[in-house]
Amino acid sequence: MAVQNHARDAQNLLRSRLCNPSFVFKALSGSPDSNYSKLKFILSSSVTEACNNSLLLLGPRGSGKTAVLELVLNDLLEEYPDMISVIRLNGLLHNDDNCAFKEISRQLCVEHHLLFSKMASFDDNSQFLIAMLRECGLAHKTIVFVLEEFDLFAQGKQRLLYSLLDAMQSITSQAAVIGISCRLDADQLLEKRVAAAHLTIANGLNSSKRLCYSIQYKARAVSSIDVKSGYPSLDNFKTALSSFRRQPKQECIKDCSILELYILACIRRLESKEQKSYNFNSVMKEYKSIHDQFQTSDDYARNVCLRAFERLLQRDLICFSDNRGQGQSVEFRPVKCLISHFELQEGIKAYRSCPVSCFLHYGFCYSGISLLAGVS
Amino acid sequence: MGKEESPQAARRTTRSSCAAASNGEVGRSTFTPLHNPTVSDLAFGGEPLSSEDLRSGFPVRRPQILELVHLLGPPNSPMLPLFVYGGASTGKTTVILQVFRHLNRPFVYASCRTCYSPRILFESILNQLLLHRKNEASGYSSAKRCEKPSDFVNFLREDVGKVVDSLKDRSGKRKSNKSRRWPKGDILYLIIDNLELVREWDKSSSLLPFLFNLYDILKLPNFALIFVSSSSPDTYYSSMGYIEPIPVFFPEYTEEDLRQLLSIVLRPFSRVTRRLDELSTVFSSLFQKYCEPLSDTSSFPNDEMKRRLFSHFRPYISPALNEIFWGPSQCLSGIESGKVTRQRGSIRKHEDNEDFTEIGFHMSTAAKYLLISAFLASRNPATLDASLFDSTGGSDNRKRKRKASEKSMEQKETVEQESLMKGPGTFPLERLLAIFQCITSVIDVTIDEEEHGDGFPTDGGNSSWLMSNVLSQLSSLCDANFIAKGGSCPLEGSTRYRCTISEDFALKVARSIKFALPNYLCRR
Repeated sequence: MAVQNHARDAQNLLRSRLCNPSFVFKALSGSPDSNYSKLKFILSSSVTEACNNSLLLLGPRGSGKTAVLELVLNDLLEEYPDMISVIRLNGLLHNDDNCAFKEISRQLCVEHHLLFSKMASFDDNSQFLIAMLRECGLAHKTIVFVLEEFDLFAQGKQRLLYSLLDAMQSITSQAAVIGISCRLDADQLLEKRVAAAHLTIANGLNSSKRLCYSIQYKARAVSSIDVKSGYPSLDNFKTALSSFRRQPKQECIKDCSILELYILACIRRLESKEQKSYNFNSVMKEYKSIHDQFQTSDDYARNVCLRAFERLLQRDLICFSDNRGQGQSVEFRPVKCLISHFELQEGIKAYRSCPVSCFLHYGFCYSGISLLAGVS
Repeated sequence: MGKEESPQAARRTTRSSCAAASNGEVGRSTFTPLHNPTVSDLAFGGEPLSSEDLRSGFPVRRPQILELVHLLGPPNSPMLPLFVYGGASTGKTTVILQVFRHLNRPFVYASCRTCYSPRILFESILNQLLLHRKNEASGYSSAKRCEKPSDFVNFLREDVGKVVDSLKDRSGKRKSNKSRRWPKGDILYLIIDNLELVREWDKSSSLLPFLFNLYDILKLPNFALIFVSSSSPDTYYSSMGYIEPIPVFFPEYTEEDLRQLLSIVLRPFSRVTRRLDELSTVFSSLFQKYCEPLSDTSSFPNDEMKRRLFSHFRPYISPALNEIFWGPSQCLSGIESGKVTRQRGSIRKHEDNEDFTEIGFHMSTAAKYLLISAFLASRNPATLDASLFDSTGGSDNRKRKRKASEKSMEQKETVEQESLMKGPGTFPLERLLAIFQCITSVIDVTIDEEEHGDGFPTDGGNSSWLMSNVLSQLSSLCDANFIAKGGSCPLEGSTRYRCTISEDFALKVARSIKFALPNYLCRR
């Protein structure tokens, strides 16, 4: 019983560590020329020497950019209490300029215990921002702007970026703008006037992209630890690995019914006949011709086939190839197949007792063999 | 099946009337304030579910339930976001909600089917967090107005904090009613269902990345996210990329699973074997998605003792299979009539089955003629009108009896191919009316008494009356989606129409007014 409790606590500890990104990247903060130390150096110079800095962190998703930044900021906040205020913006939420300025003002108000009015207009907010920058500059407080998903801010007119960087240049202020993005060409998205403001780029964090996958994998394995034994077993890791080896299209095909597989095979045959576009009617024609040729017992009526066709559309194995979609019923709209011939073949091979494989190749003769379909 | 349905009903009533039921009040219509909603409402409520009940309620979902329970982990342990996916009707929502009922964790549930826009989705989640109910007292409004994702994130941070605090505050436990269970743990779970519908929303390109990144944006320790969708995660990836949530897959039921599921339900229904088979096909038509392996429905009743009766079943099965997506009553009636005719020694073909040759609703004669005219206008090219609809009002077969040369055969094939691909053509209003007048000018004057009551003019000469009636019928046919508006004519700018009914339906309509439609169709 005690072992179980300990095991459970250990499991909890492991889970909480895996879910906490800053823990994962703490290990990387040790070495002197790592990104952590570079970042720390730049930011602390901004604090101590009262200069403006702007930089861009680029790297693939899951490589720990935000995590490292958070570590640096936490350390700096401990070192220099009350001298830094952090404003966090996210491109997904705040890429509208109005929204962004409102959020900046709100966060500034919260930091400095001022009352924030939701009714403030865009001009009010931007003037407030400039005033705050000036004040903080005079009081030797640094404002750090963290812009996540930076590439989304670089869409449109880039008004926010321009006003921020412009304000930093023109008035006496102490600010740092840090952009974080996964697009490695984010700096090329910037307009000239914005890029004229000096931006240093701290490039690619070296940790591999696979880190996020390995975290998921460990989380999965940890979660399935049998509490009684108290140790993760090989089976846990194996099941976790198999969950990553999933091939969604294969799963999809395995989930299809025999009729849906027939329809997919008909589409495949139409493609091999080099028909450029096909719709449900052509598929039905092909289906009838298969039935006539091979005398299968799977001859279903048109409305049943139409429902199976719609189920295939829902499963995203086929999709409409036109974008209009108005005024045309499902039977006439051209479709295209979203899985390759190889995937379909593999899927049908793996399917239990499937009679469809013989139809995949156009012109394949299969006379006289009684086909399984429908009767077990 | 019954067992699966009642928890479903319980889930829908969990917020407002489950609490009322436990307190013995039914007050929905009466405006009496119910007990103040507390945080305990965030748990499932109702009777607690033991793990044995959970597993026996879903006999074939045992591995998925186990996976979910493991991933959710013990109370107070954080979790990476989950992505539960699988085909439709594989039991994802039900299983998750029952697992939560069993584990008694606080959760907030929102379905993208009922919340069909971002604003409604956000406000529904916030209402649940704030334990705010839309009732008469609040004027059916939400607690907070929230349209943008940024507002949603800010509100969410505040509200989740409040909820977690009240969860931790165990003093509330003493005050609450003994029949309500206090939820376990401090972590709040957000379940977003039917995620695949979000892809069709207007702002889906920004909303989907936002939802997937919500966990990272919030960075709340006591918050966990579960997505439920019927399409697999690889269909959601866009150029932005997300940190992938952990996928949990619900495969479709296999044949053995189906047998297991249906046998539980059918055990009380054991009767004469023939009726049992019909019932089983009806049941499998009710499990709409489960009867996808259509081969199943014939193999399912074949237990050992029924194998010798298989030859009896075949004629029932094929019409049942072909009608498998109709409602059960129609299916049964089809089988019944099939059985009756079989006793007469002849097995009717499916198409002649009386139930299905009638149109299911009533249309006036004028509307029927109009519909047929529209169908002809859509199917035939305009150039053939002159020959088809000459002054005699009948079709002239002379042209078609020419010997078919090879070139014309090829032409016919390409035309047929085109017609398969292109669909019904468009026609202007004038052409429709011309065909209509031509057809109706030769109808038999002797019409049945009951049809006469439809107000169809027998003289056919009163043009002004005809026109207004026709136009009003046309607009009602448009509303019924039999005639759709196509593109507009490039020269004049007038709208063109398109007839969207199928040939079978047109034949049925024509048959009901005894109109020889095949004579007029330009046979390819």
